[in-house]
This record gives sequence, C-alpha cells and structure tokens, in this order.
Amino acid sequence: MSEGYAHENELVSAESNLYDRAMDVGIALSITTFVVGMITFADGVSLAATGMELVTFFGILLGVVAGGVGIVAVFSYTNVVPITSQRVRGVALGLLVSLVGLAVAAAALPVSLATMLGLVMIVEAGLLVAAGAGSRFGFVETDPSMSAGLLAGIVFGLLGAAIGAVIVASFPGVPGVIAGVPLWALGGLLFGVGFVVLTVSPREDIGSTVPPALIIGILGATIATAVIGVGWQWTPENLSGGFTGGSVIPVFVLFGSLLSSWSAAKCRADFGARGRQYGAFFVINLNAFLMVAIMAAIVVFVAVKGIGWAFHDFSIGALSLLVVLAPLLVLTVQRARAPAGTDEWHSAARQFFRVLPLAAVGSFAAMLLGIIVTGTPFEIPYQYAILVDRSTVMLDTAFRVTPSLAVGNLLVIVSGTLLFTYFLRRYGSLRDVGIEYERLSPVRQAVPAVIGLLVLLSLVFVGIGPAPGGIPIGPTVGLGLATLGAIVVAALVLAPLGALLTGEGSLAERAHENAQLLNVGLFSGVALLFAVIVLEWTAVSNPQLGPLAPVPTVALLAALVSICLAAFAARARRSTDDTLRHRVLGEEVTLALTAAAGFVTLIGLHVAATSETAFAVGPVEVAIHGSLSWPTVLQGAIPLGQAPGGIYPAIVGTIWIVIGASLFAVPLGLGAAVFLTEYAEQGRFTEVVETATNALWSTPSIVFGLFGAAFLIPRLGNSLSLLAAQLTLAFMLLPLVVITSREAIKSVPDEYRDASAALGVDRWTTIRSVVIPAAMPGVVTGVILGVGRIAGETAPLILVLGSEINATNAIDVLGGFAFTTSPPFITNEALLNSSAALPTQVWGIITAGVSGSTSKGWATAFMLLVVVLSFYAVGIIARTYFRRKINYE
Amino acid sequence: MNNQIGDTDTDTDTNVSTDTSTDSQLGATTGVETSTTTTAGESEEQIRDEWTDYRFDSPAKLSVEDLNVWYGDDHALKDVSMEIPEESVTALIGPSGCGKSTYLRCLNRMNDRIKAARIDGSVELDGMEIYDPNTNLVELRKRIGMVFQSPNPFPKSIRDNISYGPRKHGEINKGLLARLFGRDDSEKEAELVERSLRQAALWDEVNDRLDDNALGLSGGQQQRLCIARCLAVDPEVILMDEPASALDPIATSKIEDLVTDLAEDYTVVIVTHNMQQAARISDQTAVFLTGGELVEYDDTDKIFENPESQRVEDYITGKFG
Amino acid sequence: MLSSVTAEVQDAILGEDPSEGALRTVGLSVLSLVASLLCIFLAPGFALPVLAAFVVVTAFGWRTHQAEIARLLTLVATILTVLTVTLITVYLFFSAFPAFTAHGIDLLTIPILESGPQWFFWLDFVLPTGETIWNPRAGVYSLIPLIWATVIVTTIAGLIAAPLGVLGALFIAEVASDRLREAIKPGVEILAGIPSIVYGFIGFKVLNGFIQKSFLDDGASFLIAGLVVGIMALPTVVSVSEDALSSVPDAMRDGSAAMGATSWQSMKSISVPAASSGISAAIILGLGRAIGETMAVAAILGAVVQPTVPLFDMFDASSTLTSAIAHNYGSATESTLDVLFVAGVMLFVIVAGMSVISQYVERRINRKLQGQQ
Repeated sequence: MSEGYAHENELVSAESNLYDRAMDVGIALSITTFVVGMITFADGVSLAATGMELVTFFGILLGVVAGGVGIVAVFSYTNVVPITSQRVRGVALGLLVSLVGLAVAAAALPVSLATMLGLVMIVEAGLLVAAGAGSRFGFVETDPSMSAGLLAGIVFGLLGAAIGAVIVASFPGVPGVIAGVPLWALGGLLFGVGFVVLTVSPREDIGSTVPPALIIGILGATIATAVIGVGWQWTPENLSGGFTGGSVIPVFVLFGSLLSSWSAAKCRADFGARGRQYGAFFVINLNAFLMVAIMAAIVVFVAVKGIGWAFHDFSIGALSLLVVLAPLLVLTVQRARAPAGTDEWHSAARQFFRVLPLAAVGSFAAMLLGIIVTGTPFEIPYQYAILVDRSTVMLDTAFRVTPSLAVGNLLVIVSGTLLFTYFLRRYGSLRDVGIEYERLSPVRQAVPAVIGLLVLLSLVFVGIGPAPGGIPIGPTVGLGLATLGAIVVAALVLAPLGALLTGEGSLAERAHENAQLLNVGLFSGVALLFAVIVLEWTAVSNPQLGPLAPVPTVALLAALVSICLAAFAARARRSTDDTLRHRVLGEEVTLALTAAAGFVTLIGLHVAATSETAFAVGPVEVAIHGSLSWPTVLQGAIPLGQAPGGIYPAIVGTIWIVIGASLFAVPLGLGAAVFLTEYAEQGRFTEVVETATNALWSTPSIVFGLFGAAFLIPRLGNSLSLLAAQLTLAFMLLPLVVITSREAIKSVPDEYRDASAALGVDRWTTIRSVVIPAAMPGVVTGVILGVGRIAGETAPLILVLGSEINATNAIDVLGGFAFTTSPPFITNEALLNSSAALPTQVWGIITAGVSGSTSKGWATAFMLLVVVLSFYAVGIIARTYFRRKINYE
Repeated sequence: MNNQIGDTDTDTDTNVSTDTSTDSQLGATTGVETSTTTTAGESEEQIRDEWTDYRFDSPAKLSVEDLNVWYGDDHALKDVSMEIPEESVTALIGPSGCGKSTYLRCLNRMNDRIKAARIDGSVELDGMEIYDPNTNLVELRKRIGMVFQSPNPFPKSIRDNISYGPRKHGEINKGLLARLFGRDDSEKEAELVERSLRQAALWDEVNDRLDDNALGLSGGQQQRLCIARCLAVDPEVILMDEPASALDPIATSKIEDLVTDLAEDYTVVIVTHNMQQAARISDQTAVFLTGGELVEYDDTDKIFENPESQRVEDYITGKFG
Repeated sequence: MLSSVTAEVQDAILGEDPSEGALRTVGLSVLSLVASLLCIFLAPGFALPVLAAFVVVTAFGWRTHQAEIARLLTLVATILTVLTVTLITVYLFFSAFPAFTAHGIDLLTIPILESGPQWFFWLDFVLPTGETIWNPRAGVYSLIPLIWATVIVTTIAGLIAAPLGVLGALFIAEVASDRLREAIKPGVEILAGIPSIVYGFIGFKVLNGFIQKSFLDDGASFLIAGLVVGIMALPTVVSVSEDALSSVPDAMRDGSAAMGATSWQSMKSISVPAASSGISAAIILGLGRAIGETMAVAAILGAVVQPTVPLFDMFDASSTLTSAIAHNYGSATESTLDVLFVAGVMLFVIVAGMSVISQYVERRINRKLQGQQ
C-alpha cells in the first residue's frame, strides 16, 4: 500500500534556525526594497541621493519601523496582543536588521540610492541561489517537489524571453537581422527556452530559486553598473513618450523585490506544498496591502490638498465646539464604562485602550474650557494659493477657535436631539414603581389634553394666519398661553426636585418613592414646552416679562433641575445595595439626562421659532447666528473679490439632486420589488425584468445623460434644469433600488410568510407587517450606498445640469413653489433652473483651464469626497448594526 | 429544572418504544439553552478519575492529555484525557453541545481553522506531539483522515475526488509536465481509485460513471465517496463526525458495516448521536456530558450495561438527551 | 375572448376574488392614473392636477381597500419601472437612427496617413478609408479613433483590475482573518465609492504631470487613463469575485484541509474552479465598468479626437466613446449630436450585453454547485 510514498515525511520537522532566520531576513530585505521602490516612484526621495541624505532617509525609515515593531513587540511580550508566529517575528526582526544594514551601507559606501538598490538586488539573488543550492545538496532539510511546475516555467520563460530580447537588441555592433529574422527575436526565444528548461527540469528547490535569482541579478546589475542610471533616457522612434531612469529603475526594483520575496518565502517554508502556500500568500497579502494603501493614499491626498481651502477663515466659538463635542463625550464615556477586566495586568492594558478615546475627547474639551476661561483664541495660521485674475496669489488665513460663548441654535438642536434620542433609547420604563400620588393622575390626564389643545390652536393659526384681518390675535393669545405654559412646566419640573429634597427617609428611598413624580414631571414638561414653542412659532409671539423671556428661561431652569435630579439619583444609586432599587435609580438617572437633553434642545428650538431674538444669559447666548464662521460651506462665490468665497450653492445643489432622485426612485423601486417578489409569479417575466434591471444598472452613466438631455430637457422647458438632473439620476438609481430591495425581500425566509398565512392573515397584511420590516435593513443600507454613488455622479449632470463654477446664490427650491391660475396650477421656477453641484463644479474647473482655481477644485473634490463617503460610512455602519442585531451579537 | 423530573418520568416510561422521538424532543429543549446551565434532567455529581481510566493491552495510537478548548470565553472542553487503542472503533457519545465534535476536531488540528478557538493540552500520535509548533500539518492530516457530518464531495468528477489527496501530496502526477517527463501516473491512479472505491463499498455502484460529477450521487453514495476519498490518502486514523446523521436507514447501515470493516486496518474514532449505533459498532465508548467533560470511558459493553456514573446511566436510558 | 382578457387584466391588477367595492375603488384609481399618464404626453400642463386627483382617489382607496390598493401601487411601480427601462432603450436607438441613415458605414472610416491607410487588423480591406476622420464642420465623422481609444484604455485597465482584483478577492474570502475582513471589505466598498470625477481631478492635476516628467510624454496618455480606470474597476472585480468565492460552501474547504491539502491548494483546486464562472462574471463586469467610465477618462485624456499612431502607442491620447460625448455634447451641432447618440448606443449595447453575459455565466455557478451540471 505504501509503495507510493517515495519519501517518508516526519510528522514534526526539525528546526534549522540559521537557514530560517536567513530567509526571514531575505524576505524582510525584499519588503524593504519594495517599499523604497514605491517611495522613489512617488518621488519621496531622489534616486541620486547619496551620503548624508541617504543615511537620513534610511534613518527615518528605521525609526518608523523600529517604532512600529517595538510597540507590537511590547504588546506581544506583555501578552496583550500575543504574536506567536515564528515567521512574523522573524520578518519583523529581519526588517530591523536589513534597515540597519542599509543605513550603515549608506554611510560607508559612496554610492547613490539607485546603485545601492541594484547592489541589494544582487545580494538578494545571491541569497536565493545559496538557499536553493543548500537545499539541493542537502545542507538543510526541506521538502521540495519534483519540479517547480509548468506555471512557474511559463512565467519565467516569458520573463527570460523579454530580458533576452532586450539584451540582444541593445548590444552594440550586432547585425540587426539574420536570414530575415530579427536577431532580438532569436535571442528572446533562446533565453525563453533556456529559462523554461531551467525552471521545469530540475527539482523544485533549484527551479524556483535560480531562475528568479538570475532575473533579479540581471536587473540589479543593470542598475548597479549604471547601464540604466538616474539620467538615462530612451525615446523609441514611434512612441509619443519614452522611458527615463527615474521611472525604469523603480519599476525594476518593485518587480525584482516582488519576485525575490516570493522566492524567499518559498525557501523559508521548505518548498513543497507548504512552500508554495507561503509564497503565494505572500503575494496575495502584499496585493491586499497595496490595495488598502492606494485607497488610503487617494483619500488622504485629496484631503491634504483640499483641506486648506475648505477651512479657510474657519472660526468657531469654544462653547459651540463643546456643544458639538457633547454627544461624542457621552459615547466615549459609555465605551470606557465597560466591565473591568481580571487582575492580570495585561487585562488592565486592554482596559487602558477602552479609556483612551475618553481621554482624548476629554482633554480636547478641557482645552476648549481653557480657551473660554483665559479668553485667548486658539489659532493655526496657514497659507494657500488662490486665483485672482488668472494669477496665483498666496492668501494668509487661519483656523480659529475663539473664546466666544455664542452658540448657533442649529448646533444646539442637532447636538441636543442626538443626545435626547440616545438617552431615550437607553431609557426603559418606570411603570408601577414608587408611590402613585392621588393628585398625580389628573395631571397625567390633563397634560395630553392641554398639549392637544395647543396643537389645535397652532393649526388654526397656520390656517388663518396670526393676524387675520389685521387683528393681532395670534401674538396676544400666544403671549398669554406661552407664559402660562412656561409657568406650568416650571411647576412640573420643580415638583420632583422638591419631593426629593424634602420628605422622610434616605435620599435613595425618597428617589425610589417619587419615581412617578419624576416620570410625569419630566416627560410632561418636555412635551408641554415643545407644544408651547410650536404655538409661539405659528402665532408669531415671543412673550417677554420685562427683561425675561419666560419660555427659554424655564427651559434652561428645567435643564438645570434635570441635571440636578440626575446627580441626586446617581448619588443615591451609589449608596444603595438593593438590586431593584439600584435599577430603578439607574433608570431615573437616564430619564433625567433625557429630559436635560430635551430641554436644551428646546432652547434651540425656541430661538429658531421666534427667529429674531437671541436668548442670552450673561455672556452665553443661543442665537440664530452663532459663532461658527465657515465661508467654504456657508457662502457662495464672491465675484471679482480678493476673498475666495465658498461653494455653498454647489453643496445645496447636490443635496437637492440627491433628495429629488431618491424621492422619485425609492418608492417606485421598492414598489416594483415588492410586486416582483411577492405578487408576480416567478418565471420568464420576472427573470427578464431582473436581467434588464441588472443591465441598466451597469449601463454607463453618460448614456443616462444622453437620454436626459435628449428626452427630458425638451419637455421641461428646454434648458438645463435641476429637475432634469434629479430625474436622470433617479433613472440611474431606480435599478439599484429594485435589485437591492429584491435581494433583501428574497432573503426573508419563506417560513415567516407561511407562519403568517397559517394564522389566516391576508397577503398584504403579511407583506406589510412581516416581510417589509424584516427586509428593511437590507433595503435601507442598499439605498444609502446607492444614494452615495449618485451623489458623486458627474457624467449625466454635465449634460443636463451644466457645470457652473462660480455660483453666487444657492438655488431656493422650497421658496420656488408658486400657485398659478392656469395649468399646471403649481410651478417651481427653481426646479426648472440650472444649479451648481459639487461634481459638476470640479469638472467645470478642469474644463476652465487656466481660469479654473486649482485650490478651489481640490476643496470641492474634498467636500464631494466627504459627502459621498459619509453616505457610505452611514450605510456600512447601518449594515453592521443590523447584522449584529440579527445575529444577537 | 430538576423539579420537573417527577412529571416527565411517566412520559419517558410510556415512550420507551419511541425512544428517538423523546430523544429529539429533549435535544431540542437543550439546544435552546446556553451551555452554562445544566441540561434538562441532569443530576449533579462529582466525576471520578477512575471512570475514565480505561486500560488496554496494545500500545495507544492516540493519547490525549489534559486537553482544554475555549471558543472566545466559552470553555468548550475541560481537562479531557484519554488513550485510543490501535485498530479499533472508539465511539464518542453525548448530548448536543457537549464538546464531542470539538474533541474530534482537535485530534487532527482541524480546530486550527476556527480562528476564535484556543487549544491547550497535548495530543500525541504514536508518541509524537501534534501540537508542536513545528508540526507538519500536511503530514498530520495525511495520517489522520476525517469524514464529516454531511457529505462534502468536491464539485469534480468521482475519479478526481478520489485522486485529489494523492495528487496534492505529489503521489500521483498527471498533466502536461508529468507526461512530458514520462512520469504520468494514470494507471496508478486507476488502481488507486478502484481500490479505494472497493474499500468504501462503492465500486459496484459507480464504476461505469467515474467521470460524472460527484455532486450527482445520492447522499449515502456521497458519504461513502468521502470515505473512499479519505482512504485514498492511506491514513492510519479515521475520524468520523456523525457520518450517518444526514442519511436514511439503508445508507446508514451500509456506513455502519463499512466502519466495522475498516476497524481491521485502521483506527476509527466516531462521534455519534445515536446510542444504538455506538453500541452496535464500537469496541469502546467515551461519554461526554454537558460542559465539555469526559465523564466515562470504557468498553462499550460495560458502558451500556453497567455504567459507573449515574448521569451516564440516565443519559443512556434516555432520561435526558 | 375579450372576457378572458378582461379577466386576466383584472387578475393581474387585483389578484383573485375582489369585492365589488374594491373593484370600483381600484378602477377609479387606475383610470385617474392612466389619465395623468396620457396628460404627460398629450397636455403636459394638466398632468400635475390629474396626478393630484389620482393621489386623492388612491388615498381614499387606501383607507377602504388597503390590500387591493397596495397591490395596485406595487403593480404601477413595476409597470413604470419597466416602462422607464424600455423608454430609455427605445429612445436611444430612435435618436441614433438619423446618424445611421445619414452616415452609415462611413462612421467607421479608417484614417489615411502618409503611408496609406492605417493598418487595422485587415479591417482596412472591408471598411471605407478617408483623410479627414473627425471634422464636425465638414460633417465627416469616424468613430474608429474613439473605439480604438476605448479598447486601449479598457485593455490596460483590465490588465490591472483583473489579476489584482482576483488576488484581492482571494485575500478577503480565504486568507484574511475575520477581523481583517471586517475592516477590508468596507475599505473596498469605499474605494468603489470615490466619485470618478475625483479620480479625474487627481489624474488631470497630478498624474499627467508625472507622466510628462517620468515618461517624456508631451501631455495626456492612455497609460495614465488606463491605470486610473483600472483602479476604479478594481472594487467591482473584487466584490463580485469575493461573493462568488464566499458562496463556495465551507464544507468543501474543510474537506480539502482534512485531506492534508494546504489552503493554497484548496484555493487553487476547489474554491477557484468552483467559483470560476463567478470570477469571470466579475471580470466581465469590471471591464464593463471600465468601458463605461467617463469622467476620469475625459479629465485625463482631453477633448482631442485623433487616430493613435502607431496602433499600440500607449503614450498617445484621444477621446474615448464616453469622453467624446462628455466633451462635445454642450457645443455640438445637430448632426454631431446624432453621431454622439450612435456612440451612446454602442456603449449601451456593449455594456448591457456584457452584463447579460455575466449574469448568464453567474447563474451557471449555482447550478454547478447544486450538482445539476
């Protein structure tokens, strides 16, 4: 039976330390040369660099690598992130060794970087030959196959043929043609066959080391002997371009190091099946690394180029920044609160990483507080180039954080709403906890009724206007009711505080008993005050009691009281051991924090509702115009000005295009997907529709542009228009919505439908209450990703929307609606006009030639990238979230 | 859950004839529970070392010492030590989630493929440690073959399925290069295919369609093909992870006969959910119970007729499953 | 005959056994919708009000006969979607028709250079030749330079995207650990999300300068355009082939590993062959993306339409089919527009055809894995 086993393998292979370490260094050396090759390609360092410059370069590289390896080594040694693989350790060590070696060589040898790279390649070739020979003659124990294989043979044959052809062709003094055959072709053929034989016929250890070593050696020698030097140039007669040393040497180095890393990896894993695996995985890993590097490089590059313009004259008050930071602070606190680890100290190290984000955000917040207290602004001045009258001018500008205490109401609303929803989601329930006071239930019933009444009144004012027939009913009624409402809210919120501070028993007991008071008081307070603010808005009233505005004052008071309540409850919670009480008090803390966030949001809403006035307490104020100044995002272009202005119109245009396209495509696509999957019989028809939608999704976007320009524009007033752009992109989005929705609906298991049908539920109800909720995550994430793609789409837009680059005014879609007496009775001029958009603006700058401002182009590209990538980020996060939720992770 | 025993007792008595149905019912209930809680109906007791101390005359083929496995924070296998004799059938039985499949996968280091798994302890094959950092996994898995719960033939022809292993190990060379150098092993391959298929009792059914796609075979044939595929590499030990659980009774009995035959030349370790099967085909039986503990290990007759552990007795009589 | 048709229509719209009231509600809703559709084509001014009437009728129907109205709405959505698809296709062909009749085969004129007609794979014996090949003023158009430019750019892009993409997919599907996969998959998606105009701007501002310095080129070049388009097509290849590789059951990999094969051997002999149709579909789709890519190519290659001399000069530059449309549409005359529509139809047919082929190829993988080959 076992005749087939020519060589009996050992289960546990012997260690051969020297050979393994040498090959690890070989691999590391190849990686190093690869990276250096990439750096030279990107002009990070000159190929002609010598002496001190070169030593510095390698020194920097060594520093970076030593730092990285050192950190990982420390974590591995302390068992935080243990790295057990001998190969990884070996390569890490090899990286350090080879970089030290290169730095020393750079100091010792008077050669340029190019020559040195050539020499390194020759060394690598030598190492490979030594390893192959060592294995062949039995100095090291390996496990080679009979042959390196046909694939390797073909690859090396082709490479050999190319090299042979070039060598023969560039040899001076040889006749070009012999017997009608060009000599380079003969040379190539000869070399090619030679390499194939050399690869295929010997055992694997020779076949997969010597041929690559020859190729690497030849390439290295060409560079090292300066046959192809830094200043080398070659322009073939026919081609429009040519080759320089600056481009050919890096290509040689990249290629050679790729080859040598593959071969060295094979040697390291003792050839055979495992050797081929390590070699192949090495190339695969390197490729993945390259892909990630390219992606990161693109994003970072655009950011670096565009960020200067994008943040010119940016300034923000420290308090505003703190408001923005608040949700982040809460999140990081939450992360840091995770359960403590075991006694082992590396678990403490892991704990440290949990706290790190909090420390970062916290110290930033502390810095902002410092700015407020000391009153000194924080400034990063910088310069960037703008275009004035087609000539470049350097502009001095700065990024500022001012000690201003004014906060824009929008920031307050956004930040407050985020916190409110966050706490509300964490809040469970306080039902049937504590004492149910007799006088509480009428309040419980009265508050919704009052709110309903206020909302009804607001609707009336919306209908008849605040001052019908010139009589100011609205302001008068609003004045009275709003003031009254504010007083009631104050009472509602103060009641639990009073109950908590007075009364019998310990703080914890009082807090527990008064849970209902807290519950009713805080929630009713938020809801009632919200209704009051809606009334203020519709009735156009802003009650003032002397210098005091009751509504925001009460909101502020309520927010402070809520925070006090939260603090008391938290303190009480610490002092109690009772599990149930502990939980109840925990809920109370969350409730109080929810209310606090809600009341703060209401201050912002009040300012928005009463528009003209700011709400100020001492130096702190919440106003329509806060302390944020961001010209790029908040301004249009300034014609003929020295100041660069902004790209507000383009941002608004892009937002409207995305909204319009989604409004059209999402309901239509979703409906079609539901019909095709749930109602239609699966067969020829659905298959054809599916194939067609797939085909349409991959159709070039410019074709949609052609269609839009030729079909839509003549029917929509014969001019470039926003509406045409929205519809065109909607056509593009439509197939994607259909495809992703169908996928999502299909992936809902049939058992759900059967279970629902078995309960006697009709089809539509099943779809509405079982299928669509289950499919929603997939639909939502698919649509978000699709919308992200649409937001960056350019080609169709330049045909249907034009490419304006210096728009001064944003398009006003909401204000554009107008009723007319003739059909179509409702019109919107804004929709039928052209608008700027981010992607078309970039294109416009490209086509504008010298009059297009490069820095503005980078900034626009950067903002576009930010918009699109945030869509993607939201989509990807949503998908991960839903997936985790489904898997109960 | 213990207080329910009194209620369910009568049920179990009336259901003696339909043993499997009770089994699956109880199996379903335990499946829902997390492994940290006790299984339904399991009584508390201390495991004694002598229950698992099984002596035999021949040298041990595999010897396992203090094997522990964690999946993340889940301790799936606790301090298992057992020695497996050569050329015999060893059955591993126990309720779902007791770690018997995990244990089986440790014997040829298939658990290496699960990234979250952490393994501690020692497994020796013929006295050679397989958890050595320098272990040659190719060689190890060549010597310890494995057959999985559901048949997993490759989407290739029957012939290619059988010759897959030897070809990967360079025992059989086919293709352009081999023919070029006169090392074409087509004949050897044909021999090997026939021998393996005969050993797996499949030759008569498929010898006229060796070039058909293996996925076209029936479930039982596919599983026997997988066994043949495993035999083609000429292993010393064959691990079987519930090889008949997805098959119908006729296919199952064919596989059982096959296992009995294989024990003459190979060391077979088989995980099974079906106690009758274990009793029928195995020489010795190891019982794993909830929490990943090896509770008792002895001759099959001893385990099924006179177990030492009360829990094992309860399990075997179908009090819980 | 007629009654059976009505019955079928009724069946399609309502499903089985509608009540009398449902019939009336849905009928009214359908009528108003048809009216508004007619209005769009006949009297666009009245379309909006009639559409409003449809909305009102449907809203009332939603309250009374929700199930039927819901079914109707989804059906309407399906019909509109199908109509859109058909409309786009038909209208494109319709718009390209004038140029077809006006120019015919002349649209494929092969340029004459100093030494006679340019060598074009022996096509110069079949196709007409001409001195002027793209001259809108004279009304002479040839799409050959555009097509050839598209071919060169797509080839370079394919040479980059196909191998790198498949290797990347192998990494994600087979090599990477779970945590790494969680990080890299979104990374690839984000790479797909970078708008093409951003690539174009980088190419226009940075890479064109690089090629002028390092490759002694005088300006734009196919090499850079192909490189950029290749990177843009990369995510498509990666994600589609990754899907194909992931759909190969893990049990097969386990089976291979249990026989002592290394992961690389399992990959080569099990996963890749099993997923081969999916991988080829991925490459076809990637090439389709490369052909249809517009903005990056337009930004890098500029607006010039010229024959590539010699044929394989990757340092030359000319508009491709897509970028010619982008550059010329705004300022084009009537007849040029028609020619651009011919280019559009060509793109549409080629890319849609590639998509259909790839879908066909992909469906085979499922059948093969289920053993129904």
